[in-house]
Amino acid sequence: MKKIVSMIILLFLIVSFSYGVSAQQSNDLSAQAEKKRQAILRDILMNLFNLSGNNVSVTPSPSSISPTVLPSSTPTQRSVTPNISNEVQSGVLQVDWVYAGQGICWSAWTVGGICTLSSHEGGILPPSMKDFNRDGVIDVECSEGDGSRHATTIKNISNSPITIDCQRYACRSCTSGNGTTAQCDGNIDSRALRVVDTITLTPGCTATCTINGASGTCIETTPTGTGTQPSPSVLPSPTPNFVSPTVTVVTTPVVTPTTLPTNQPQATPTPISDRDQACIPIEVNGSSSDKLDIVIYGGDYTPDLFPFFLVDAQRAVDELRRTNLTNYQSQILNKMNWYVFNNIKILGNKTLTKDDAQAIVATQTTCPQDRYLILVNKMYVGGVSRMGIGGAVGRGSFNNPNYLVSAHEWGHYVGFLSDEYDAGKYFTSNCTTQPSDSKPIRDPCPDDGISACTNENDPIYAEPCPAWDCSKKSCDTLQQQLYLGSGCYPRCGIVGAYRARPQSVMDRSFFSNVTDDTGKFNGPSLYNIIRKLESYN
Amino acid sequence: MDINIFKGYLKNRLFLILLIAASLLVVFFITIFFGKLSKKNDIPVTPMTLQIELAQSSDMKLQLQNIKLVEGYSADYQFRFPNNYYQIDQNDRQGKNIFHGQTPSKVTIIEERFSTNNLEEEFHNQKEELRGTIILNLPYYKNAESIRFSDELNKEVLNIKLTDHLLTEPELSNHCGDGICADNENILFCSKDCKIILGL
Repeated sequence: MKKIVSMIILLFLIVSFSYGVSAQQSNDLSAQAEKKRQAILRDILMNLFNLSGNNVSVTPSPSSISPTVLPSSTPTQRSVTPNISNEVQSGVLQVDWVYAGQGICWSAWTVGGICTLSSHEGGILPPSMKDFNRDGVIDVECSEGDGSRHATTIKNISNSPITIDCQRYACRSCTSGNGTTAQCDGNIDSRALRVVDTITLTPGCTATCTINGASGTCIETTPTGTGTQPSPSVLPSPTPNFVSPTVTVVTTPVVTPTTLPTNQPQATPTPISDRDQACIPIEVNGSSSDKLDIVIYGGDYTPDLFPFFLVDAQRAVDELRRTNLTNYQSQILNKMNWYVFNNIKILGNKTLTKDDAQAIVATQTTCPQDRYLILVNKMYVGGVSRMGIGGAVGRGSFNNPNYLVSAHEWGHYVGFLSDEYDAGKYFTSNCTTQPSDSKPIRDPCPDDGISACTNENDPIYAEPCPAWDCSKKSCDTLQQQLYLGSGCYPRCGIVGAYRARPQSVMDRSFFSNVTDDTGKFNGPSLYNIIRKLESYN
Repeated sequence: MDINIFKGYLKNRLFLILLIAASLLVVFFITIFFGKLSKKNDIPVTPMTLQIELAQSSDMKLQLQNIKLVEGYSADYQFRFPNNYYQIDQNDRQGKNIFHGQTPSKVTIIEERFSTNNLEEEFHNQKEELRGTIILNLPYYKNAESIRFSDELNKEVLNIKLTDHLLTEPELSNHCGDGICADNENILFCSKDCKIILGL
């Protein structure tokens, strides 16, 4: 036993020594000026995002909010009607501590300077709602305030560990449940973007949920999903000292989102990590020299909208996981690293315009970059792709969970894929001009934004075009595997070319005619993507 | 001294030495295995990049405009282009190839705006362009002597002798914590950057 203990102590000492060496190296490398610069930048970030430390005291005292801003009624006991004004540059952020689907502690505030809604910070009432194990004693305390902290703090005052979610929401409009106080969650705005950290709060422990996630000195983190899907039915009261005999959990969102087919792979979201880094890793699968590194820039997001940009960036990455690329994890998805260019950290607290971003993509070396993606803070739906270089996507492209615009553009700037609607030109990567012997002539899935597919499984279409028919041409093993199920459907870039499946990510069916194929890259497309990424590990 | 006490003393000392050796081995294993060995190629990941600005003429020839070393990370140029690309080769003093990559020589630009309810409002534009000015962030090899650019048929379009240029290495700041796990960093010495590679 003694030996084991001494071995552990020795190992600990050596590891500590290693860290000491590391710290020493850092000190050697860092000039005094660099330290000062980092301190200033840290201050900027702290101010910008209102990062809270772990030493925030819990104040379970009554709220100090002026009663004039509080609703006199009980707004959460009825279905709330979204009060959404379509302000482009403004919105509401909300952070909640959620236990068993119920918001317990929260804070919500406005950003962008246009919304006139009141910020707030508080917890659920009556206090019995904080008695999770129903033993007659409340288990947690919530911080309260005027919302200026942009954080909510919870303290576990029970004797047992509590597993609880830090949920962060971003609404791009001035959302409110009652028209006066800021509120943003899936029940208020179905398009609210949600990021979740699940933690275990040990007895006596205090944790703070900010837009950057959960923090605390004695918490245990459980990596969980984040989501750009509409949030579940969590409806905290929008007011901190709202007293209600019962708190209604609204189970039906007021705005029902159009969801993807259930058989479609859903996003397995990735937590956004440290925002103090110059190059924020969104999804890193290995050394940058082994992977295709894609760097995301925020164009026209003002500094206070940087959290929105991060959520949009996460959505852009997660969008690929809503396609059939999840079936090609090792061949495609794991061969890419995604980073966010932290313009606030690098360039200071100012807006990086779309043109600024476009100008620096070629020369920046803060992040290793093989491709770039600029998210443009404009409401349009669409993008620009420079094949083999990078792309840009309008923020309106994230307005609906069904939209796969970012994945579509990725198909262009990484996959060299052709549009599969009538775009005037085509590429042979996923289109062919030679029809099958069945001579298909009519498009079974008209690209008119109205009609549904009819007859798409008719043998006239099911017979593969010669380019994808391994019974007629020599195919390698991968082609044999991927071309299976290919047919020959008129329209691929031009009317006179043919595509392999009736619908795909590379057409525009995700806007109006969602089917099983909508979220899939077809076999020839997959083959080309895999071959082009072959040099990566 | 009692022989048994002496034996015990030696035994304890031997145990201590073995313990230290084993611990060092463990630390070494963690550092090396999860550090450098997790990398699958020898392209350097260091905050030092050879930045080259090239002018492309209409006949696809390249002309060097500027060459310098900058602080920051390079691209790897390992993507395999279907067509319209330049090959990039860095060779050392012995003429041995130490880096091979590709970059596009022409770019197809696709611009599309979608309307979710009215196809008439949609906009699509597609064109192909020469790249004009090309800025490359190449990995920096201290032993590289030349950089050769060639077309798809391996016909040389530019050869840069690095010895003809004064390349001053910039003074590097501390890069631990910048989000990139560089070659000189590992899970022990810079866990902030490198833990993510281990999926931590």
